[in-house]
Amino acid sequence: MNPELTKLIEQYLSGELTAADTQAFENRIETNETLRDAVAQQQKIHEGAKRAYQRQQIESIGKRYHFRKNLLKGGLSILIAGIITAASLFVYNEFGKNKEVPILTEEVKVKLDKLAPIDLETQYFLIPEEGGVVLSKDGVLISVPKGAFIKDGKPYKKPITLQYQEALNGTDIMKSGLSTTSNGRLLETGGMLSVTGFTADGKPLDFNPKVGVYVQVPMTDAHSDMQLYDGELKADGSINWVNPKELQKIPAPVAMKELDFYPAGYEKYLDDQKWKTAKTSRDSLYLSFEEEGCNVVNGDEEFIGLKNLGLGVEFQSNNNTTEPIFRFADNRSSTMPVWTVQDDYYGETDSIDAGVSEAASPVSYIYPSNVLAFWNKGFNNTNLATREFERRMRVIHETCDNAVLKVYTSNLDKSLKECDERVIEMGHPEFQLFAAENVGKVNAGNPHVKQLQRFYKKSIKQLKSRNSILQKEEAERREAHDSETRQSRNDERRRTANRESQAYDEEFNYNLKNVYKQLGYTRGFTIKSSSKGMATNAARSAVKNIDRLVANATQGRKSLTVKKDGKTASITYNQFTFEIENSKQYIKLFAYILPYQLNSYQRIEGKNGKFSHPLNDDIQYNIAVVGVKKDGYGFFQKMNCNGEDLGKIKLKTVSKTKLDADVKQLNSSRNNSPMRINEELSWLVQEQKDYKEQQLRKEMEAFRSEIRRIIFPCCHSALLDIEEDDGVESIQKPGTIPYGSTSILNPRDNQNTTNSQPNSNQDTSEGMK
Amino acid sequence: MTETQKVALQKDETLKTLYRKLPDIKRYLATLGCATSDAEDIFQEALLIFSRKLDEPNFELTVVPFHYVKNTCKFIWYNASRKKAKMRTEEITDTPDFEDEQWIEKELKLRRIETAITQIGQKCQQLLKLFYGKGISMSEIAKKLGMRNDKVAKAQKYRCIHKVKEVLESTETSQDDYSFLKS
Repeated sequence: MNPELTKLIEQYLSGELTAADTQAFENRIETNETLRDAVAQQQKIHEGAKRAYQRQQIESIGKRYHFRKNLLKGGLSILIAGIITAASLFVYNEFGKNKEVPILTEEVKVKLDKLAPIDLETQYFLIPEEGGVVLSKDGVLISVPKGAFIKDGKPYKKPITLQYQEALNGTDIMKSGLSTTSNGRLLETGGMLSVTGFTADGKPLDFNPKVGVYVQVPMTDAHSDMQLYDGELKADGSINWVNPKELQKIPAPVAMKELDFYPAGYEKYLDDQKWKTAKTSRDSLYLSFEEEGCNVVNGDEEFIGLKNLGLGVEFQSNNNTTEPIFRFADNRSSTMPVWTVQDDYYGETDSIDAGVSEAASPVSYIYPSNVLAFWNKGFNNTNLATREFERRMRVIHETCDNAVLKVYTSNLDKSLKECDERVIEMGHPEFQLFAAENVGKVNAGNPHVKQLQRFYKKSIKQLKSRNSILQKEEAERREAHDSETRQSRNDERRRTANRESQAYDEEFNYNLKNVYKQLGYTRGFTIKSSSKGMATNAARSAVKNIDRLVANATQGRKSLTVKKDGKTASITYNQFTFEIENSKQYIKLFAYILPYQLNSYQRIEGKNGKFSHPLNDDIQYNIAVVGVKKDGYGFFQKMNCNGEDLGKIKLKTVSKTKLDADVKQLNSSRNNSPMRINEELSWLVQEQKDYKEQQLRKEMEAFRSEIRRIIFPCCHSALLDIEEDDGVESIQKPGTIPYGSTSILNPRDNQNTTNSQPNSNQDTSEGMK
Repeated sequence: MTETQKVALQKDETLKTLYRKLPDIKRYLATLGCATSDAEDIFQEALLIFSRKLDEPNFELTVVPFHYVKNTCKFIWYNASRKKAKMRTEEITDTPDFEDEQWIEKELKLRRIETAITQIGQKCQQLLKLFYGKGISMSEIAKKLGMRNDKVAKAQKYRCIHKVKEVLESTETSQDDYSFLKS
């Protein structure tokens, strides 16, 4: 291989040949394949060199990435905005930006080394005029913004040579003979360093007090009272350290997923309750308080946003609907490019609307949407993704003032200390402790921050609308359930009233006929006969008398003996009793009594599985017992019963179809008034459903009321007075039901339902007279 | 700031942002069976390819950068593992479809040249990178590298290029485009 050829090709490729030579060379290429290949190869080498340079840039990005990560792992780091005054490691630092970088010549370097304030190795960094970030050998990060230095009182707008010396460990300190005394007092040092700016040709520059150079020193253990001292060079070469200043702490970014921004106690409570642990579920639950806030909604209007809140009780509807909204954060990388900032973003203000009118609620609270909207990885590497903010968030929850939260969320580009101070001005002195920590900011690029603000606002909106959809769905579901239950109950009441009046009517007529028969009367001129068509006054009054006796007996289901004109008539009622085994497993137990001689049927209700009902001795009865379980039915039937004690009976578990068939069979022996079991059953099914529903609502409200106390601490204290005499208290008492409707199908509550039964009997019979 | 500088700055920001996705890429590559130790090399290669793609005059991004990089990683990994598998005479699934296949293959071929460049002297490398990569003038390079003047630098350049050619000649057959796979 000929070096001369290489040179020639190089000259050709870089256009250094004369026109004639170029032409001649091109003619050769035309004909000579080897030459053509050689040219192509050399072009590739150029490309390869370019690529190697680009790789170097990528690697330097990678190094910075890892450095940052490691720095964070190391824990505390210190940001020093400041300066100690003014060589020989040549550190050539690329910033990955295609700009003019000054060149440090040996000549200048030697000159500058002489100016170094400390007798230590010097490091040089070449900073382009746009500024840059460099890393020292010991890992100190130095950020030189544009215009950080001034020359002759004006910002110096040309590339800068930065001279840097560091003594971070004991060896270096001793090697350099540095002292750590401040006006004669001994200091404990966390490290000393010197930064000086020079022009490219070695003329010293002054720091621009308005801009400054940022220095970040990694520390494994920094004392909170460490301060930054200025070094005063003395004639004898020693340094006096003066003018101590507070150091600003940089909050260490933590991945959002490791942080907890829920109100204190929320997670603990849910854990204690063994509630779902998935963050999406917990977010959903938290979000469901968005609109409700402090307002304890009760009564029929009350509803709960999410279906999947039950403590182990499953709703049949789809749970999935609550999840997707919370995934927006994960999809973000694919839907939202963060590296381009569109112009329209700038048109928007930085402040974030809470959305909910803050004046509307008497007690304000932190809107869950405002918390959840930033709690996702989109906000990693911002002030919000820090342990420092996590601690503040706890206190923010306690202020119950959404405006406080807004101070932090809308000032991502400010230091936490600045935010703390603003919050103190707003009348929250408890933030003084935070302000005293003097915590800086996580440095996110400005365009990125703007983008995030927009993203945050959008997220809040999304969360809100998602929540209101869920709330609405739940409200509608409840309303549908309630109206179905109301309808079912109205139907049942109507049926019961009809059935009872019919039963009474028929039995009364039967008994009356029976008495008349025994007394020798004939039946035929009876009840409708108050004034017209009566034969004699006496007969009428006697009839009336007997009627009333029979009516009383029928109504009270008591035996009766009537003596009239020497004849005796009697109606006998005997107690019919039985007890159901394992009655506890049934939500509801009914015994249906189907009198053989009558068309009507009666439904009797037992207490704790014990049934007792007086039966008319003159009538033959069939009985059917139906028990409603959570997941099926129990059935028992017996033909030809009289007043007697059946003892314990056991219900056979049957399917709904079998139950239908059995009842049909039972009905076949009756003529024209079959027991309409389907209607009864669908009512029972609805009651079964309602029982579960009400249990659930009750549990939920107790659960939510507890959570509300936790997540909205101010609501809790503000509402205490109201709760004393309001419905809320009663929710917590076991056994009482905060709903207007009468019969809750609670087996423990059978007392209520049985008590109401005689009353309706009373009403019916009154009407009869 | 000039337009070019703005573009460069934006590109740098883009790359930095992308770099933070390293853990995601590591996880993703792990699901494809790639060792964590190789993942970052593949990632850097993909970033480099993406970054160079951005410089192409007619390049229009049809997917978000992250997806481009992710797909590139996948492509590189499949290629690398296929090559490895060939050596082991194992079967491996075909390379997935990727619209920019040709570009990537061309890019991966340049790796060989890059490797050759790393085998020449430090100063030579610096010179070539600064001239062809950063595009600064010969006289500046001369200053920077402590050479007397641009003529010296230029002469040095010819020598450096020639050295690369020699390295390439000697390694013509032994180089592997995917030498970054350690495991």
